[in-house]
Amino acid sequence: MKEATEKRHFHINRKYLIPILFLLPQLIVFSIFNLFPDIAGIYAAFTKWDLGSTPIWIGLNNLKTILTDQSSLFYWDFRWGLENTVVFVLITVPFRILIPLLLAVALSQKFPGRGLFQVIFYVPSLLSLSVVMISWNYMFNPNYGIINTYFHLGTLSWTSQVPYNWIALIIITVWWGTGVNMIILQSALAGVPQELLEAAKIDGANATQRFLHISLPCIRFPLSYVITVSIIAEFNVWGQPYMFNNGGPIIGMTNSYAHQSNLMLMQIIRDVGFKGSFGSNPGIASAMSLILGGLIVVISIIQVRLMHENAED
Amino acid sequence: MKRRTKEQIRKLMLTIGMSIVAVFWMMPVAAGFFTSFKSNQEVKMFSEYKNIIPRTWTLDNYQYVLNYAALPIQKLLLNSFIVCIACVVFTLVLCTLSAYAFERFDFPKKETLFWILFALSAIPNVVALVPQYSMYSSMGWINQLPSIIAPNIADVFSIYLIRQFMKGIPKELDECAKIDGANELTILRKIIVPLLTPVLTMVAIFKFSDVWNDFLWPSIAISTPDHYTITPALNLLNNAYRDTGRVERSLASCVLAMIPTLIIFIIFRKRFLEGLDITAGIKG
Repeated sequence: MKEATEKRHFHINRKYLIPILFLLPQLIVFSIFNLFPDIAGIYAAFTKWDLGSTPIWIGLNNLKTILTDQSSLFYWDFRWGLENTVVFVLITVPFRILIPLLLAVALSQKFPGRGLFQVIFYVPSLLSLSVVMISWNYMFNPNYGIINTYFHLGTLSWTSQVPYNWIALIIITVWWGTGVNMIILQSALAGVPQELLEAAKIDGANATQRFLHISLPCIRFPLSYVITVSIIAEFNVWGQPYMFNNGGPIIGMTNSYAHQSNLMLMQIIRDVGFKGSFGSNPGIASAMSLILGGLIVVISIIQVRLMHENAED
Repeated sequence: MKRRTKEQIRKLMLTIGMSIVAVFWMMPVAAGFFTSFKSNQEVKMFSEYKNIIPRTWTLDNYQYVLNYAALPIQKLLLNSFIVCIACVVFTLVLCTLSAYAFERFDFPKKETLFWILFALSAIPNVVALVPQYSMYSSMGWINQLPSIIAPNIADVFSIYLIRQFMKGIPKELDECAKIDGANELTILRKIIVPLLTPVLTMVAIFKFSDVWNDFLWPSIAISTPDHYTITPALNLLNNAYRDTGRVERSLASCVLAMIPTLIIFIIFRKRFLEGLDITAGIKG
């Protein structure tokens, strides 16, 4: 009897021991290389820190500086960077949803060459940022680029003239990001029950009505996934303006600080953290990333909840 | 009969319409590809010649790029391969082990742990940027390839994908093997993993192309040409060639850099495209 309980006890321990052993490598790697830097980053936002020295706790001072201190370069950097990023997100995301959705709807019809078109529209998503930007820099080149030549635009400078700089960046970003969204929406549309569509057709609903009242509600989960992922991706935008016009033209001056049209928050964080003109200031950079990160987390939470809900369906 | 012709006209219109869009869509890639075979003089005269396809084809740009000693593209591609393959192997091993633990075992607070991990992994990378740098520099990993491998390995989203897929594998299979005396690791290796091939391929492909295209962190962590990976190095190559007005050389290096991802895409096209919708959790 005693032996039996002991055995059972041992059995339970062993039962928990094994999954923990399976999990351990992942947990160790995750804690060291992902979780620790995250926590350190959150901590650093509340410190004065020069890389190489020990960070000194200064409470909310960094956040105060970037949010309220109008005499500081960091305030203007942060403010303009965030403004530029938000404008970019607001303009880009609708196109990053609508264009893939239109293409997905078109590709859900049966017509010759469908598979080939799918590949063609997907290919840009395979390219790395630098390949994308080098190709498009050539397209938009004012002297011997394809676009200015074919559309007879003379030497119009896409990199330094508002609003052309924005138009170019949006075209590039939408082109790059369409593929993945299109495939997801396309397979979502393929999952819409045919019986429903047929029934609506018999009841006299036209194509638009069928799309709005049947297909769209059926694909609401994938659609919301695509929207949140696109918003998160565009909040992180950095490389396109960096490689296109390195922040773009100066559109204003405040306290002798230059306001650059396409300078995104991510690039500012990178510059302030690692190579800013005023030396690197990791504490300030961390405070800025904390706010940007916070914004992204809010969007992620919405997404995780949707996925959770979806998984339980 | 009339309805059929109407239907056929509609299909034809769709094909024509999509073809027009597709031509515009492919233009940057096509123009880049063809221009990489042009001479500098022909590139500069584009506004007069208006020819996308080269008048005279030349391999000079490729020759130049392949022999550019300051940033040897062969070395860059090799570095990228090493990094990507290391990331893929580590991710597959670690994530399969943890997905197995989550899916086939019971332990207290299992689901809570999973969603905590999920939530923590959703903290945007930007938050970790500066501490990551100082951590790796104190470890002596700055300018070393491990610094771009390590942060890409623990991938909770891949665990999620593998776990979702594992749910479809009947538990009876494990139990049969257990009766035959197999231990958990053997069951995982001999029975589960072979059945996971589709989802593992997908995770591998995504990881490979993610890491291959990674730009921000490598551009911070690596500053010696010997250890550059291709994506951040292309930016530097581009700066070097742009300053001398040789855009066709930048484009030639782009074509070389694109080849590996395109080959992988062509080989695994079906799985790649199918994989994307599993990613969205549509099939739940």
